[in-house]
Amino acid sequence: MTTSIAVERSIEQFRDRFLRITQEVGRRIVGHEEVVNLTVTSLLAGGHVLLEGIPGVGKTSLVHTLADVLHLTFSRIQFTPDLMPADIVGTNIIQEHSHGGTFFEFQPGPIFANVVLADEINRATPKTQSALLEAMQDVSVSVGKTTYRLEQPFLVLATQNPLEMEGTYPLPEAQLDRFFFKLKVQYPTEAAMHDIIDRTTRDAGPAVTRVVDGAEILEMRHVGRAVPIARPVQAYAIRLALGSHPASPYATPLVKRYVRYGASPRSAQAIVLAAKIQALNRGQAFVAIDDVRAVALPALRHRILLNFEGEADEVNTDAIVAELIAGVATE
Amino acid sequence: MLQNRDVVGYRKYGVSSQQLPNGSSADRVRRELAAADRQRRAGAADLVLWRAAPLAAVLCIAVAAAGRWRGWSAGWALALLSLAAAGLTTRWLLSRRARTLSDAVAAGIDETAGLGGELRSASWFASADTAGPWTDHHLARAATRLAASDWTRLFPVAPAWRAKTVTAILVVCTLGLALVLPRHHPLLTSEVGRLHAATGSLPSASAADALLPELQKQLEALLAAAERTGGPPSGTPATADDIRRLIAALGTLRDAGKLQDLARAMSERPVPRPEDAPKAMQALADRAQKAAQKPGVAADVRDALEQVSDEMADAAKAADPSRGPASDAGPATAAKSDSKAASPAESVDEASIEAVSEADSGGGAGIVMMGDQDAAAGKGSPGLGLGGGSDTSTSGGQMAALEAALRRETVEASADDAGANVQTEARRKTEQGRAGVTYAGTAAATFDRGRTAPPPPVPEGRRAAVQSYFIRKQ
Repeated sequence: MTTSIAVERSIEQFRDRFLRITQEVGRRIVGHEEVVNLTVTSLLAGGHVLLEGIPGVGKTSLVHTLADVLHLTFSRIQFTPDLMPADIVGTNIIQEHSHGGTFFEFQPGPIFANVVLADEINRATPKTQSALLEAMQDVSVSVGKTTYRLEQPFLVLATQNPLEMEGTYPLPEAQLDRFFFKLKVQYPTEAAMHDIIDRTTRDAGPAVTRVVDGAEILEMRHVGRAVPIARPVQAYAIRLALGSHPASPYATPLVKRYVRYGASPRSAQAIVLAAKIQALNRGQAFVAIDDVRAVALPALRHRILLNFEGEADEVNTDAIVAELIAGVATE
Repeated sequence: MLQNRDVVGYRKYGVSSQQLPNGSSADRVRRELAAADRQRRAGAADLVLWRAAPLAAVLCIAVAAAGRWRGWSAGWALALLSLAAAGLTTRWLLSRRARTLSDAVAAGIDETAGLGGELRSASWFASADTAGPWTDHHLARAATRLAASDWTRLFPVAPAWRAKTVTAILVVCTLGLALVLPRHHPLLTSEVGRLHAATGSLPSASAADALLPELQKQLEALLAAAERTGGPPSGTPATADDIRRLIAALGTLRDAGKLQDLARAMSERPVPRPEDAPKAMQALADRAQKAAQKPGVAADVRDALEQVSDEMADAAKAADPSRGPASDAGPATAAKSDSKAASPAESVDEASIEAVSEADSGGGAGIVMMGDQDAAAGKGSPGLGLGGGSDTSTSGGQMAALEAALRRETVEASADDAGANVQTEARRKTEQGRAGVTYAGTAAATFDRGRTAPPPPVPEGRRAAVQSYFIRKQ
């Protein structure tokens, strides 16, 4: 009974914090409730987010606000073609001793923060983009012969513009796969536009308070991973990932026709982890099929590689994932 | 999806509420799941049962009706009824028994009950060897929530009053049709008798006795209708089926040897002595024959009356051993002979027709000039003999009947299509014909009786069936 009460309290605490984070972000970010929800989900699951949207829809503001609310260190990297890896991870610089002589001292780059905004990540060269790989996967960076651990929680929020593709370097599949979610920031509605203008054209913008700190986020991550998931529900998540492969027996017609490579096992991990966070956010101690469905699209859409026919027909991977969700049996 | 279940290693478990002890949350979850599944299947089984039961009852009543009509044993209908009841009951019981509860079952109940996946997840954890605070909490919450669920409300058993009522009515009708109706419905019984006659077995005397009053009533009505020549009054047989049944009933009485009783019952004068029964039968045969010859009588009624006359005459002949060979031709022939004696003109007509027939059989067309012996004296009116002739009496009633018959035959013949070259063929035969104009004294073609064989007699057992077969259908 005691453990049950403790679990119940954990769930309530998790739910309360989650709600406070989203509400606080929502004071500044208008009309992107789902994006905010999934971004926080990714943060609590320990994943990174790729935000895609046209300029001016609030991607950077969202990341700024999130960092403010979470009481975490924040850094911003504006990716340009001449950006170098050392500009991200840092470099060794020569320092002079007070008693004479010189030595190399590591100067940390902007990657050493809890929340890193990689703005317009596709404008940097692949070499620079790959500088993020180790940080995103292992939460560490290696400079020379030394590996430096990054402070947890560590969250990379990258943005990219889907329209201006000239002079950009599309992210390689290996790097795309390391993003927990790919979220599309849509153009706000007319009502949301009113709110945005009302809030941003005054002398003082809406202030946000820090509601959660890093330790609490780490605790929430721990709680999220403790949620049990029944094997049939987990099997459904696996079938979704497997079904994105054209040779899979669960593949849908769109997959068979337009997909060259499907989602990696990381996608199933992402789906299950995110589904657990969603279940806690509902106040439940179990993962349901609907939780899996709710997070399947952002977890799978960037992990599906189209074939030539799919590229030629400008097929949207969202449609493929939607067909998967509708077509893969839940039993 | 079974292979998917194998892939993920999902373990089935078979539980029933009796097997589950009170105790852990997992047991409570399993018990509630079993109860929900049983309730759901009960509703589904009842739905199927009360959809199938009326259909089965309809089948049973159809078999019972066919059995009564065809003369099957009532046991067939009862056996089918029992079989259907046993089958449906067995299926109902099978559908309610405890069974293995799979993830699919849990998912179905979860979805129907709107539990948001909690039952499905809890049912898996209840069957898995997983322990931990979170799992226990999940199971405890699920058990509490499931215990608060009203499965009878979520999976109601349809009352199906209409189906139950219809089924009950049909079953009662089936039983009545199979067990009660044959003993009380004479016409259906006569059908049984007819079929018994057709198969060679005699109907029971009790059935014939039961048939007698109804047949007498119908026959009286038919005779009265024909004698009035105004069509069948209400209550008399009006359709071909009714007349066929009447004839069949007559055959049943004949096979049972009850025609005497019928004739005595229908006799105008009381017939106390059994030796007078043949006379009564002959009188009834004559009455039926006369009624059949009334003008304006419908063809099927006339056929029926003639058949009644034949039956009675045959029975009278068989019952009267004193009748000589002169009466071997049967009552109809006797009546015909009597009428010949009474009407010379008719005799002339018969002779004329017979002469023409014989001339045809000789190979040529012939025209016979025949006349009445009184024609030369200029007495009498012209008759109907081919080539002329006269008759002393017009016999208005018979003439009208003959006219009607000829008109009907003409109408029927006009409907036949003889082909486009029928006139050509007729002309060719006429031009090539070598027949004389008259040869009244011609002899009939030689007819070697030794080379002929009489038609096979109709077995008594088949007689009624053959008679009913040749009744003209309307």
